[in-house]
Amino acid sequence: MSTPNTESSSMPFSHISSDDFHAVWEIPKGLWGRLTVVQNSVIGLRFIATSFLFFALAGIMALVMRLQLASPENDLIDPNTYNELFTMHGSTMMYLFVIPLIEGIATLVLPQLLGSRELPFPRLTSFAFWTFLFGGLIFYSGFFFEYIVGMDALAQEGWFAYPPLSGIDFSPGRGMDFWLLGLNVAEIAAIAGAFEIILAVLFCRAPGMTLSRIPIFAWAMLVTAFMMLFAFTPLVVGSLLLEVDRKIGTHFYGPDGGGDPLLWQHIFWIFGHPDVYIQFIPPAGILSTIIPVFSRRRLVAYPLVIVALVSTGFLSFGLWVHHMFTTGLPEISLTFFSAVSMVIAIPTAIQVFSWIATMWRGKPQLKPPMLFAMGFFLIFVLGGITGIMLAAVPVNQQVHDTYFVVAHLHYVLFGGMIFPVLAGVYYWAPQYLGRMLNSRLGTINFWLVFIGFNVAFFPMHLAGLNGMPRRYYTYQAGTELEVFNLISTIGAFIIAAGFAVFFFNIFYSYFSTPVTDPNPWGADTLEWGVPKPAPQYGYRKLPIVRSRHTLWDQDDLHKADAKTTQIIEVMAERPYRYRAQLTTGVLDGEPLEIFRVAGPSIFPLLLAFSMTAFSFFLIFDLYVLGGIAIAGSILSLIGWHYEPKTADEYRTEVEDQIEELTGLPVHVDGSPRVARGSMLLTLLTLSIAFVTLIFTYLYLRLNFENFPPPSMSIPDVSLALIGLVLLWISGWGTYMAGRAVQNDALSRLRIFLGASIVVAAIAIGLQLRFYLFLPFDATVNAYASAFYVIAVFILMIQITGTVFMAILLFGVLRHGSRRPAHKHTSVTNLVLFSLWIAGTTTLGSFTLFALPHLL
Amino acid sequence: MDKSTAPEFSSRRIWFAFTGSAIVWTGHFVAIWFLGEVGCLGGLGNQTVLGINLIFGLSLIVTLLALILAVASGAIAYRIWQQVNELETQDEIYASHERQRFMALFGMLAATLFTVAILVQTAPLFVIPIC
Repeated sequence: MSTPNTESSSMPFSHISSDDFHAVWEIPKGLWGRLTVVQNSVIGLRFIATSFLFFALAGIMALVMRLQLASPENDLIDPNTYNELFTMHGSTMMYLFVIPLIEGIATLVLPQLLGSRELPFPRLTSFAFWTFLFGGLIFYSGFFFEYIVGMDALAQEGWFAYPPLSGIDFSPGRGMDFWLLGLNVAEIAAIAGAFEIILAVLFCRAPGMTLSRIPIFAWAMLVTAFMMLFAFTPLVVGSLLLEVDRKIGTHFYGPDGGGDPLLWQHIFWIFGHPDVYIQFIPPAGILSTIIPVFSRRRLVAYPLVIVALVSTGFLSFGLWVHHMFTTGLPEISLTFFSAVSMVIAIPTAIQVFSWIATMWRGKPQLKPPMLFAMGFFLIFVLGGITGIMLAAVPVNQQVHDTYFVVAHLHYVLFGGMIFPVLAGVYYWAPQYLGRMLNSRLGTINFWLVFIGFNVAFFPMHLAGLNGMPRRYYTYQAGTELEVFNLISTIGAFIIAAGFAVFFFNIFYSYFSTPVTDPNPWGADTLEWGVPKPAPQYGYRKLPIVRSRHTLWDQDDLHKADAKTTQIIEVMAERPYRYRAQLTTGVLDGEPLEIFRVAGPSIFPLLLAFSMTAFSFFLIFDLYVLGGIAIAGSILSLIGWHYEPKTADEYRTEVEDQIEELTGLPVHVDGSPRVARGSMLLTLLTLSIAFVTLIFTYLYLRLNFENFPPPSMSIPDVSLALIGLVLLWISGWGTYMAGRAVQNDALSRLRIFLGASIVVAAIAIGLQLRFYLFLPFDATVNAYASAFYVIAVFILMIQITGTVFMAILLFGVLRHGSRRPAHKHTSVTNLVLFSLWIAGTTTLGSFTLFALPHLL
Repeated sequence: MDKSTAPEFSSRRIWFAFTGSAIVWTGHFVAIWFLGEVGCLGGLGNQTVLGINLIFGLSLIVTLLALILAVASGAIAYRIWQQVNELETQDEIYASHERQRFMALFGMLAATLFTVAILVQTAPLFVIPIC
């Protein structure tokens, strides 16, 4: 394992100075620079720091709760405050700590780990951070409005907010609105981050990083990111439905109008249970990265571990009902979920045995990262075993909503997530903070957290088995619960001491001597091949990957065939006026394109701010201001995409020369491959949202016989159907526009694009005319609510699609004949979008108009 | 670029081998849950066809179909793995055959796991009263 040659010195463009290259990638300076920066190295650290801030706040709330429970019949805090604290604690940990922290680590580590320079959409990363921050601030502003302004602004309904408790009748204050809208904004950040991770892992890897050479942490993040799309999207939709129930008076979850509270439980847990694995899979990836390094041995059974990660991703979506075993669902359904809850132990066990085998066959070194990994084993395996117990329906029904469940979930989440993440922080600190965290403090940190954790949470199993229900603010004396609770409280303070040492260690080590050895742990993955101090672009000369353990197996990171050598050498010198990035093949990692990555911009911040402002105004029913915020969002979006320079101005003979030298296309206005990938992901996400709405409709339909009630009838639907036909014609028009791009026919492109916009606008107008004049509104009953929400969804996607067309037409007209038609590659994405809109509208119309006659 | 000389498999075949079993498991799980939930709530729990409970019979048919597809996915993966395994390992940058071997191995292992999952999640049909 030698340190490979990372920067050889061949310079085909020797007249380009090193300073020019650095200047292009430099972080912008000053306050303006801090607001506009988009680099993954900065945004990743911001994500991590902000998540830990929220973690500290949630931890303080936990300490207050533990003080309250330290003795029976304690009156340190009143029941309402206790309710607020456990709601804020759980919600913060689940939504504002774990997910953003994971995305932060991925944002920071992935580009260098993959041998790339930057994530493909840096502005999206920046937007994700600001959205997360502002969503969290809305959520926490509840404290200000509750305790300073004196209004009811803190939710008390727990982190899963079951209706009818969370409905307007039982929670009339604005606490639930803060909860729903604040967290919804933060969830949008999670989805945006997931896009970025998927695109980075699929398209932006080093040359030669085939599917079988992808580092395991990147695999873990890829699986997690897909899971986020499938899990968070239903939650966003479900939360919006709960909010419109509260604000407008629809009847999705209220039984009085034909709704069903269990519908929320289904939608919530379709998110909630996979979320547990969303929290576990990335830490598992961290462990699979760290354990081989500190065992000086390759990971045992790499392919099997990848199978385990991917299958966990799938199976985790078959568990959600095990949170609903006591809700009276058919027994046979419960057993299906019970079975999968047990099967999922297999892939988890595969990983655990792989780690054990790796250590067994290696020479483990007990440095702080490895200590935390070892701590993980004990705690997570205990949590896994109680998980198997809870998968059994009879046991689950006995201990449901007791402290046994609290103990289990903390063993799984704390053990499965926090220990590996702390291992990751100690491991990657030399690379991304430039400092080695103090080892002695790290050891103290580990033992305090490890001992404190078991002292705090193990007795909770016993308290639960002795009948202590969760979420009660106190308990009676003489019930044998005193001793368990007192021990738990002592443990909680030991954990707090452990984290105080952790934060102090970061502060203390930050002022220590910078690390100069690029690879102080002797690791095998690419991020450790970047010279110190690490430049913003990572590798100037991109590495060539010939092995899964690149730094262990390759003496020369740049040894390649002549063609690839030419590409990486040209990439190291040109283009220098903008941030250039390589895309590679999804399967075999062969170089395919060079493209310009977006640079600093204020618009991600403005968009996040205006979207958050919109949510904030909705909480207070300030609809005019909400409208202004929407206008701000639209302007920010335009600003985001509107470049002062046109693509033609960016492109010069240098780019032509690069194309000649490398044989790769140079795209100064972004990569068509990445754009197509992001369009497919957008359609996937929208499809998941649409399926959630259809599920809502069918669920309500199946639970109630009168759906629609006999007194309600839909009038003549011909206008809506004509609109649908026109949408397909518009879709055909965009298809023809796409053909014009392929055939390089500019005038046909303009004509078809323009005509498609006109036809789509007429289609929307006809449908609006139909839906706006229906003889019932959305608040009549559950049928009307479900009807309208599907109608609104299909109208919104149509309007979005038409705006997208108009923006593209604007771009085509703006460039005029200076830009040939075949350069307008975005139009091919529009074809996909238009056809998807027509198809989705057809399915929606079928559900609304035909299904009542068929079911 | 020294692209590998690995055998060309149709992309449908290799992707079916790679992801088929997982997708089949998803379809099977949704189908039997739907049959159980909708069948019981819709009052089909006591209906029989040829003396066999309707929900039970439909669930078994779906399971059989799913098992055939999952095993087929594993078998195709095994066939690809055999073919690629015969090739000599070379020090290539864009090593298609190494990647194909990985995808095939992945497919075999995943097919095994998801076949077990399909069997386990079907077992309750034989033990628990349908509705």
